[in-house]
Amino acid sequence: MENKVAYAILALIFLSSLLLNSYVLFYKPLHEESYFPLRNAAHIEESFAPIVKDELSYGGRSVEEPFLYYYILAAAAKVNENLARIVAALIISSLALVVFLISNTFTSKGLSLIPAVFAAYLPAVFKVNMISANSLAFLILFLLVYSFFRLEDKRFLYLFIALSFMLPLTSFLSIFFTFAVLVFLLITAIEGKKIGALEWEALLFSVFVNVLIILLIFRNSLLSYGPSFIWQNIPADILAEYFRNFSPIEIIGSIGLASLALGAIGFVFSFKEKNSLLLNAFFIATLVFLWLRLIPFNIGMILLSLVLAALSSVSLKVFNPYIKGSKFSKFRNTIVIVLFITAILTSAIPTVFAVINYESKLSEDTFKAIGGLNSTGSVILAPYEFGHAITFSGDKNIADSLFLLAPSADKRVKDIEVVYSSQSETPVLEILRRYEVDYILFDQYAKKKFGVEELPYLSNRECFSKFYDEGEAKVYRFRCK
Amino acid sequence: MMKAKLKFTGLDANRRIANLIILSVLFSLVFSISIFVRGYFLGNNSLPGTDAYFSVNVARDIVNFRDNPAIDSGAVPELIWPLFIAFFSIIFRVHEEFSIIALSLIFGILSLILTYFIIDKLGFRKRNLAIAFFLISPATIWMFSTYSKFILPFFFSLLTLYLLLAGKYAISLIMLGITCLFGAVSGLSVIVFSVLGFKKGFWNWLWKAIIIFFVLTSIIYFLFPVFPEFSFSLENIFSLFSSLSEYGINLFAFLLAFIGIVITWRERRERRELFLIYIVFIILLALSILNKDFVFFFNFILIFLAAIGFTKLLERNWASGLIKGLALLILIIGLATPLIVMPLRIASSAPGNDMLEALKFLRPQEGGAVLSAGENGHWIEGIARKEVFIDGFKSRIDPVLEAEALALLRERNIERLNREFSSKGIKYILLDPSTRKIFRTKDEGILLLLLYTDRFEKVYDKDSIEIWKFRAAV
Repeated sequence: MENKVAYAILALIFLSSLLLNSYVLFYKPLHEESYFPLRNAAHIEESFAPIVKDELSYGGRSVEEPFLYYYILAAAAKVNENLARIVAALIISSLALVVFLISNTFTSKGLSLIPAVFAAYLPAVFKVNMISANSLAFLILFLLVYSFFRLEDKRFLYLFIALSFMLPLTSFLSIFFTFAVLVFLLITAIEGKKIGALEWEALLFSVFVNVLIILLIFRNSLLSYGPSFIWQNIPADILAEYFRNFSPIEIIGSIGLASLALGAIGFVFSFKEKNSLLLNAFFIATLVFLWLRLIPFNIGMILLSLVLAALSSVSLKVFNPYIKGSKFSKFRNTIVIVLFITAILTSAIPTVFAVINYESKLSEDTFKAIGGLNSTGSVILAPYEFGHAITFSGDKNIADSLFLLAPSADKRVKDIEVVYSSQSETPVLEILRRYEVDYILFDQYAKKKFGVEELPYLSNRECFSKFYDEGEAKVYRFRCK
Repeated sequence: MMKAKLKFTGLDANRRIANLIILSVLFSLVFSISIFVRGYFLGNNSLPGTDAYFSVNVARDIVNFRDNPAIDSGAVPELIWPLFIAFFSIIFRVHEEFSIIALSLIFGILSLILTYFIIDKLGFRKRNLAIAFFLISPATIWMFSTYSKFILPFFFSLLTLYLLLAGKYAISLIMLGITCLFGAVSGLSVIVFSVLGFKKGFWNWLWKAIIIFFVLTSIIYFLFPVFPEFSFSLENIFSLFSSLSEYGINLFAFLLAFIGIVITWRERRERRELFLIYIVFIILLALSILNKDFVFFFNFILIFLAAIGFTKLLERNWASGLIKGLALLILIIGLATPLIVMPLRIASSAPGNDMLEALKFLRPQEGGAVLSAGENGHWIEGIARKEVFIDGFKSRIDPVLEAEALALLRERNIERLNREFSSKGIKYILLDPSTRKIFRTKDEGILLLLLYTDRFEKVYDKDSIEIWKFRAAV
């Protein structure tokens, strides 16, 4: 295949992925966790500093978060409010380009389109927050891999150095990268592969940078939680749900059958070459992190999908000369086209379904209800998942999904559960008074989550009055303070 | 200028003295940062942490010939440091709080000098680098700046090693005996340290050392049967690092030490001292994981290997000058960060100004024991000069006491509480955030009685600390 054709197809793949991502970001309700990055970006736009003390969250708390992504969003939002969403979509779509570049180091441009298809259509992407620092971290992680492959070129050495600084400033996934590097060093030692001086130094340097920046950014969290910091202070009940167990069908659905098959074969053959060993290390590190529940299931699935997509190029590299030398050589082009179509069928189609079925926990009605209170600084009790949307609209939440350094996160989440599931008024009143709650939000998600149809104590007209009732969302005012 | 060569090291005496003076000044500077920040910027004139107050309280009771649970229970390992403080206070007629600071500084400088000589004796070329790592290591800063009870055993174990390296076997055995008086952790550490002095006649020395260790440790624990705890968990490994816990070793020094081992592994047969350092490193690392008190001793050996690792990285022929510069810069930042972080952490450690103010209020009040969280115990005794129902030491020798204190705080029956308080002489309840941690609601346990009975009078309420006075029923 001519390079120009390959690039044209790649551009098509990229654009279609961008369209899908943009569609979800512009035409579907935003993921409930998107509001924290957007709020942080707005804060940066206003004061040029990220949120470090959040008075609206958990009744006032400290925030320790890598901030690079928020600065990028803020810069985009400064130009145009919608540009922030476009940037988020661009970052996710660019993953296909990086996977193409990585694959191209193993195989031809034409064959590299297949892994690019796998990376462009990841069903798992539509199960997580797309406006998230993790999406930038994925891009940086795989750009690090690509620049590592091409370290001899000075431009890529500089890129590697720059990305090594950027990763820990972007996401918690820098811990994953550090671990993957250590796995890589271990595998190369076991396999007896010699690492070049420059590669060794670059890896050592990236480990040092990551460790130092993690220690600096998360200094208070590390001191408060010690090694448990890695679980981010997530309450035990949520942790069980957050780091879900593996389900084989779900894995196939999230990754795509062809990507999984070709990636797995690529993993087996990846031990032969030093470069593919780094992908191999990423694969092992992802499995370890998932097994130890150190990353959320869906984030782990995206990582796994991307690594398998890149690894599939290794299997294509192995099969290509094999087919050429066999009786099927005259069908080589047909086989490639079949593979390409299979890739599209097993990745793009599940992705389109994922987009169609995409649903945020925070419905449009609920977001309108929160925004419609026009009561800046009021305390709104809602499921913790809505916490960021509440603070985004300028009100105070009881809890949100940013648990690191959150005061009594476990207790607050349980208290919210008591308010929604209690049949008795006494504990509810005690909790509402304790947190000085002004409003209670009750919507379809709360009904489903807590298994209730009505809140029995709302019949007490002295303490509760209906304040908002539109669509699926209701807001009650609490008056017995 | 006269240049005197010292026989046993061949070092220029003037240079040696100059080095030692510079190092002592640097140590004094590092030592005084936390005192300065705590006193000047935070306006807090108390000692940091609980350990220092325990030592000062015991020393004060020794000076005044008063009863003290540590003296009564024959807790030899806990008494030697306070004895030194008391002795210093009597001789120089200074307050015990001043004595503990002065002694920490003196023994810190002496330990530094000994470290310098030991490195010299071991024939280690990167002496200044290793000393610099020792100076800025979080474990060193923590040990001396919190006036830890490990200052003396650390000094005596270094002295033992130095004398062993100098071939003074008999005196080194005496010093080893003194170190063993500080408990099993110190005794074991000095025995492990002595591996560094391996040479002709070492085995003869070692078995005598082991006998001394066993005899003294047995006597000590016969008198005071509270043993150090040894347990393994993944948490213990992480808590070795100062970034993940209150104190510990530097993560970058550990990474460098690891690199040092990897790079010098091939030289272990030619350079015997390296092999000995590996052995001591591994044993002390294992012991530190099992019991964190070993970390101060482990830190000493870590600096050797970290210095080796750093030197090897420095001397390496790097493929990229840019990466070399950046990697070394990051390492230096990582190694030097504790120099800022640790003094600040120590300076802001408890008791804070709010607690200090509450305890100063309590001091002139009429006598009576105070019920509060165990961790406040030594401060109440030391600053408010009041008896306490429970403190860190009492809960160690009698774990039941902690459960009793908890039961008293959870008691809701006023008559029962009256009996208990009267029999135990409890007159005050000090509620601070750490004591309140046991309560989930505002009216749980004793909190209910404080709110709804007239037997308690709130005599102090400021900055989340309350002191309640109990009036016993006649």
